[in-house]
Amino acid sequence: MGRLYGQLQDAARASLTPFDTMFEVTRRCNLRCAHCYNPPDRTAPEMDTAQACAALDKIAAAGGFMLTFTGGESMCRPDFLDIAAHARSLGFAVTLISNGTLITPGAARRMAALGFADVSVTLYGARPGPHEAVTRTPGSHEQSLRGIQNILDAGLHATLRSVIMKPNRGEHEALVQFAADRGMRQLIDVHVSPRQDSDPAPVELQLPEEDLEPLYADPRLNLSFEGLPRTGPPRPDCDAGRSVCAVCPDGTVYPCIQLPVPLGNIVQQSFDEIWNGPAARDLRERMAGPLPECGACALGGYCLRCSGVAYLEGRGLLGPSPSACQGARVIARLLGHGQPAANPVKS
Amino acid sequence: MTNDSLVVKRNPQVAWRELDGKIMLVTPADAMLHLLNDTGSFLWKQLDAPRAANDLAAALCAEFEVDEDTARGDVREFIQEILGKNMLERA
Repeated sequence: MGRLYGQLQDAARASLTPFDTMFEVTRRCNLRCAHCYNPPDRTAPEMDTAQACAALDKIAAAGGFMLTFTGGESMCRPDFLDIAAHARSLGFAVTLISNGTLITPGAARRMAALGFADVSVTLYGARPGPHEAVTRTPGSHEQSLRGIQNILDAGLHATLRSVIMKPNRGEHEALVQFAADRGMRQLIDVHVSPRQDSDPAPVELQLPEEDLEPLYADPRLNLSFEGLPRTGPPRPDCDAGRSVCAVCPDGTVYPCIQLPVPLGNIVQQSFDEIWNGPAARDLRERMAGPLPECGACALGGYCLRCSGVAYLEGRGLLGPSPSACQGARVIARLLGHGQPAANPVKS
Repeated sequence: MTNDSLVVKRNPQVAWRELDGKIMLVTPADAMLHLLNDTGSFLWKQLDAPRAANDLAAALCAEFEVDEDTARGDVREFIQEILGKNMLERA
């Protein structure tokens, strides 16, 4: 969606319109992925069907347009496609991020009939071994492949998502080929963030810095650093809490799926009360200022810092983010700018 | 070539929303995001029910104070372009 998506995000951000929403209908999941950002306890309370639909009504009335269902595995909820159908009736551009294992031919056909804009399936390897080293669920590779085939057979626009980490190191070559062979869009990531309860365990799975460099350098992976180096120091403000929001299974609203700062609850409050309430205003105010520890960093022009990840990394909303520092070092080297001396976070 | 009596309607599979007076759309076949210009956005909003190209041209004349020939030309161009992108269907 590229440049136009950015332009619309900017317009929505200026008017505080929740253009892009991540909506979790459940934290339940039939896989046990080692790097999952959700805490292992999957018993979080969930909005019922009517409450979830009413939440979507509120977001649509506030101007919400792009809607991504994620979780947890949305398909674990028997009423998921009914909720999605309601979202489509409200005019949302609906996409789904799924592990694919529960997407039957019938479910895929219903998604196509509803006009889903995209269905993403996360696959960690073209072979069962690397994939199941991440999902820790025997048989999940075959189930995901079946789901992908059902999605493609239904004529849906399909995306292959992957994270390359220590357990599936080297699998990116085969995944690029897998997506190309099937005409799927591909998104590959190499960064892992701590869990939403700030448990850093998933970060242990991230590849070491020296292994990241060839992946960043591979144009097929599209780990883009277009526009870098930027001039001026990195800033904390982003689309979170302005044109982006996230809704948890129990109706808690976050400014972004990566930034679990509760702004309110959409079951109990109007969207306006949440979006223009004290927590949201305070967050925007704090994120409008400079980054006190990053201002003088020589890597600033290469930094793709995310305030949510910094928060999860325990550095606070405005602190330096070790993963962004690592990424900035890699990008600076790839762009032939060596390794600048100043670096606020040693990793 | 678009006929002036052609009746068109929105493709119900297309997601759309108004932002700052302009219509943005996502077409599911290719997951592409589109933004209509002022004229296109006005015409899209007229299509809450199936409408003939002639009727759309008349609405355009009334809204933008353009002459009939210009309005018909604009509507033909609009319909041809977005029919091609499957945002509209023949009713």
